[in-house]
Amino acid sequence: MALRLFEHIHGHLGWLSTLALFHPAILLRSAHRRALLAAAIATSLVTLTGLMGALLYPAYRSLLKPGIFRTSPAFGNAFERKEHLAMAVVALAWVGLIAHFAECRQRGNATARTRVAFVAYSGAAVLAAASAGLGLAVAAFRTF
Amino acid sequence: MSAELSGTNTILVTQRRRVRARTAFATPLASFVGLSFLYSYMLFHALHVAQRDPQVVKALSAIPLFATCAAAAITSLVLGGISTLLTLGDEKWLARLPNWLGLAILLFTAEILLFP
Repeated sequence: MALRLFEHIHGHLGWLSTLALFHPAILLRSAHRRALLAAAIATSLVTLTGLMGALLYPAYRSLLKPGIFRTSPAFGNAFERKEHLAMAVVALAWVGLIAHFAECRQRGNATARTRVAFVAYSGAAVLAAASAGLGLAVAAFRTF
Repeated sequence: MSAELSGTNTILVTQRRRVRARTAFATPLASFVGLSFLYSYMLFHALHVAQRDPQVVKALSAIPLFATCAAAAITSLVLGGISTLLTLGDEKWLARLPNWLGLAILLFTAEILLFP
């Protein structure tokens, strides 16, 4: 029961983080736009969701994974994909936040490097959407 | 009075310069660490799929997902730091970083989709 509740919170936070990641991705299309607060909130949410996922993963591995792979390897593989994509999402969100923070401090030195935060957040947002979608599909198939 | 103001201005300018100098390498460092993380993760994941996990990686965690992530994180910090030092101040290299990051994201996604 506790695991199920934890899983639900993780899932809802995952979708919220995905939406939050699109915010800096959209704002940073313009090289001179500042979006430090949006970037910081999105990165914090993603990190929190990732930590919750990491805490849940050992329980998933022992309680759900064998059953899922036995009945539907496609769903099992979907969950594995979701986990790997989520790792990249957390890494890219931090790359985006650090790059954007540095850009804000370096105002006036706008070069091609200012696009790093935009690329990182765009990639993180798209991968997060894929990860959240796969997670939802697997959770609808089998849960704690 | 004006001497005091001038002194304060000098301190502010010096502080601002220090902050800029400290953050000058932050974007390339973050980008190179991010790039290295994606490529090392791809490498360690490929080795895991081929059931050839290095012993060092296996020793990091009993759970392969965490072991791969930890190994990629350690590798990326080392490689990212070295790459940043080698290219510091070279705008030609730095200008290519967004494209390289985009390419790494595409390759990472392709590998994960093909080999979960």
